[in-house]
Amino acid sequence: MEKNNELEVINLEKTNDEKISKIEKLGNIGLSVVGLTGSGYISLTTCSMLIMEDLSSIYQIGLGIPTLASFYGAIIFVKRIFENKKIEYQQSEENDEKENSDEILEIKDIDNIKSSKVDKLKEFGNYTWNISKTLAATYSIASILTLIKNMPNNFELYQTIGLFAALMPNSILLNNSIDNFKEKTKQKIKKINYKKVNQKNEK
Amino acid sequence: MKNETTVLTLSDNRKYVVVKKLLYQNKKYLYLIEVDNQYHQILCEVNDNKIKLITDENIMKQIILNAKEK
Repeated sequence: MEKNNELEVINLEKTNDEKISKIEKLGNIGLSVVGLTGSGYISLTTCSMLIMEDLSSIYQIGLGIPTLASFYGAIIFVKRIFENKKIEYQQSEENDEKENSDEILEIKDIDNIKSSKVDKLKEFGNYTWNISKTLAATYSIASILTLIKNMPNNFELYQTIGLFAALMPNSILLNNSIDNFKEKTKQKIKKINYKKVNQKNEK
Repeated sequence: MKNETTVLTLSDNRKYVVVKKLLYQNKKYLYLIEVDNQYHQILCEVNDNKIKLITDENIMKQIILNAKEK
């Protein structure tokens, strides 16, 4: 009988049901988040709602897609770096074989070298990053709006900061790696040119 | 072997999963989530077979942040 917010326990049962275990687990995650943030009270309902909505929720889409895109981009990027390194190595071996020939490499502008590969790589990186950025921005705007509406609820803010923290280094890493790759190739070709010019002069 | 989860049927004829048992200032509390409607979550004080719902957000905050797991 319900009286002044009072209820009675009618039945108590123990179960191994997966659905029940999942609810318990998610509820515990909700409580942990409250404990971890430690910055104040977060509505249990709001907090757990976000966690419990599974893949169908805007939260999951907002957080999941940029993360996935980011990881996918990173994997493709690393793979391509390895492919480029392999090509670079093969070309280096070919150049060594031709060491005694009179052929002189005259490459003045590194941007023209392997430009299609670098451009494709950069284009892909930018594309991935732009998707992530757009979704993250959308998500953060929604979060800020939620924050304004419900100031004590800091959960979205933490998630947004975490999301940007995760994505920013990835973008910087991507751009730096492309620049490093270009710079290293440039140095290597300069070295080959210098060697070959010296050899010709000696002759 | 999986741990068993406790499910309570309360007098409102709803089933709740016992997510956490808490102890705060010598009082026992339960954090429950309704099985069929996971948005319905309650924090309640337990006294024998009686369950008193905690509705004051400040008290809820104190309990959640300060209670020990029982």
